[in-house]
Amino acid sequence: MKSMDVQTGFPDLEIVEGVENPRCSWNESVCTASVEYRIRRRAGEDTAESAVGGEVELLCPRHYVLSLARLLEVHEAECGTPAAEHLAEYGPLNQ
Amino acid sequence: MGLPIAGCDRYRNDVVGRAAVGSHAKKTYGADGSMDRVLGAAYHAPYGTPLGPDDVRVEELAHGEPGRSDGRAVVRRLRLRARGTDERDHEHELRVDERGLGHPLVDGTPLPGGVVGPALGEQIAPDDPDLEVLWVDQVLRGDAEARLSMCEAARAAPAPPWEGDGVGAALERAERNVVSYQDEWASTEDVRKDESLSTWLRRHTPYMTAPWELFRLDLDSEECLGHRVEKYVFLREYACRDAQDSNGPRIRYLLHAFDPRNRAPETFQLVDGTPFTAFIGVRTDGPAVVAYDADGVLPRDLLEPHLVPLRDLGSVPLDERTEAESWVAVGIAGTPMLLLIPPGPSVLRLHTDDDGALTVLELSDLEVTRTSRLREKRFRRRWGRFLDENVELAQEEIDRAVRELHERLERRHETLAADLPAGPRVEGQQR
Ligand SMILES: [Zn+2]
Ligand SMILES: [Zn+2]
Repeated sequence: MKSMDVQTGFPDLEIVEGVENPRCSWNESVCTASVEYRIRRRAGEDTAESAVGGEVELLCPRHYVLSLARLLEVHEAECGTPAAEHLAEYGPLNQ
Repeated sequence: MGLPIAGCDRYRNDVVGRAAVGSHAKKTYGADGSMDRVLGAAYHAPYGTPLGPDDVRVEELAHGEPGRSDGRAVVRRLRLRARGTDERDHEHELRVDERGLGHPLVDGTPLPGGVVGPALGEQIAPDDPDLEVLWVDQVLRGDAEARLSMCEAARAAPAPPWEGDGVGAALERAERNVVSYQDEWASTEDVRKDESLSTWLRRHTPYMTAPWELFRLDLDSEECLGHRVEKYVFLREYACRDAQDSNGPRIRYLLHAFDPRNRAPETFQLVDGTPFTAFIGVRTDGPAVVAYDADGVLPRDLLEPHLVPLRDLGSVPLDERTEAESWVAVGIAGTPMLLLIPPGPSVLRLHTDDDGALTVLELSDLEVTRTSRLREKRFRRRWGRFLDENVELAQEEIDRAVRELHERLERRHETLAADLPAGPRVEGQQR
């Protein structure tokens, strides 16, 4: 069990090098799991996309899987642009 | 397929028990690919149920065998034992009669409401060619829902005081700033069949303080609004207003136009083929409308000469034909725009939030919306374990998923580089 922050009740967040707020970027729920993966979406064209292109999203493993799966299985079909075209980079953080 | 949910022993025991009984099925339902064809490329049972199409028992009955429905001989019978909201198992049955009509039953009693679709809850006709598949999926959905809520109940502390419909609960919610929201989906055809549009609207917005207003559009006169626009009568518009903003409503014309006298499939598409959703929404504070927003609507003053108020309900039944065959304009008192509902099938979504202070009515194309909702549901079924935060995922399971998704992304990237010029496409053109 991680140590808990007395004020917020959330576990202390591990600090990822060079990033100020290493909280998981998943926005369908509050996630306090530690981030291990990154996704950077391409900027532009896709106005329907909620994520701002060009910014790095840091994600815990569970939500990294869900983000890629949603892109491939839901978003791609609706937007028509192939999923891979949306991503400037993706993968584990330590690479 | 169905895997135990962490921390829920009742569920786990069930999965084990099921495996022992599962071999009884003589025929495998859906082995012909019908489940896949109707509900997605690879059928996934709803997340939370250990049951699947394999558990359906199918019997072909010779004419004259016992079992009649509506006075007709039953020629085919599908049965599936599954859980209901009362947490008990029930015998679900679909009797197909000699005319090919399907009759769903629970414990031998006709199922009220019949079979409904998984995406929009629309009623499925007894002679629908996909009725069997949709029935199987409906029983599985019910089982999954019952089990998940049992797990939830087993896991959770007593329900918090703000859960529920009572006045006390609403007050608790207000005090704690917890909002109660609701989403209702319906096909306009079902709404017209079962009740009228205004009954449906009111039934689902009991706390809304600004009344709905409904009109029939009188478009008999050929020149109706015709001079305002060259070819088409109605333009999509956008109107938005905030009480804090003293500039009054902003109205902006959009690119698309359509002709309400001739409802074509492109009614809900922009000129480039993109589907769109029209909506009207209001936020109220007490009886006052403090903000509104809309898209794909028309200003009320433009339509005024062509509006025929639809008689209010109460005891007076609405003339069904009128509503089914005409364009209906829906507005909210205190706002200057009207949402136009075409005759024929389309989808309504009614969203309420903040204990009725926020109300949004959306209108979209039936097929487009069904496809997109189904896609979302498939995603939720396929990735149910990842979406369920009560499930502890094994490292191996995560690694496998990451590997698979990376492969899919790379594969597509190669295909793309090999033979595709970049550029947007609409889904329909891909197949
Ligand atoms: Zn996360
Ligand atoms: Zn896209």
